[in-house]
Amino acid sequence: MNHWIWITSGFAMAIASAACGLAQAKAVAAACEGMARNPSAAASIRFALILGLALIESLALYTLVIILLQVRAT
Amino acid sequence: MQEHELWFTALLNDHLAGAGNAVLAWVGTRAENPARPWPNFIAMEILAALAVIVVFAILRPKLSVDRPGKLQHCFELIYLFLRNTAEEIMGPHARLYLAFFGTIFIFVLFSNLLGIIPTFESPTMFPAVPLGCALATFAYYNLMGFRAQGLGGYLKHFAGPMPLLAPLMVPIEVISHMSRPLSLTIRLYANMYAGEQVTLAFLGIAPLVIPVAFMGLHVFVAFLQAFIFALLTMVYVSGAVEHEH
Repeated sequence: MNHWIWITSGFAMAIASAACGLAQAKAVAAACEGMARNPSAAASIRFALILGLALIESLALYTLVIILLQVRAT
Repeated sequence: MQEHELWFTALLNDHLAGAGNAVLAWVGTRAENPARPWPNFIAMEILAALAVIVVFAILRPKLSVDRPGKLQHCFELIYLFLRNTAEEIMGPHARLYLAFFGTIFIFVLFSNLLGIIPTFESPTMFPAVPLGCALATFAYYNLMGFRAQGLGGYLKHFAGPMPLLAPLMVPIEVISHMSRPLSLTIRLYANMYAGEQVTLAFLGIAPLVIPVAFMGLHVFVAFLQAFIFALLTMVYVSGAVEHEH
């Protein structure tokens, strides 16, 4: 019965979500500034923004999957 | 971890158990419980595929150049969206591969949205289904790469820009190619699974109004993840068939 998994999974998910939040904030800030400077390019900037956000989100989700695997294994 | 059986799965188990066992025996495995061999995700996946087939079977006779109906407008929007995205990523050759992109997008979209309907579950919530879609994408873009550039030509691209760098580039390229189906699988599976778990968690806390916000987020994420899956498929195919002409 390894009870450390409950503590470490909380910390791991929190760190992953925090890093993901910071990265997505940078992406959104750059996209907003780009759209403000060049409104005619807004469509392609929005496209790149959505793509980037989904890829960054998936990094936080990898942590969640590891946690789920470990919780299921204990 | 015995899952609750949905009514559609129970229907398949009641009437088609023999066919299920036969298919499993054909690939060499046995079901955990031979009396009820169909698991939930296979039944839901079949339902999603049937839904796609039925929608297109209804659409096809109604297509008309002069007087398009509502369904035709809806699917023209989807088609133009996919074609413009593919042409933006791949250039003018996108038409050759658009059939696969559209199939993947619509199948993943229908599978994701199936979970919103009360007595069904998203098949993409179980790890096997996104794995199947990701392996299909992996096989497709490699086959298209072989077809566009020949067997040796496609493999030569793993060596990188200069032959001198080949011992360094080949392991890096192989690892990055192997990581593509893994990341596609985990992204789709984790998004759908986490969306449902969050909704369930909030249903336990506040049963009345709050979970609607999370279900709405889950619907948005369903659309977004289907789009991202199709988009990454386009990026991988374009990477495999570039250097052409």
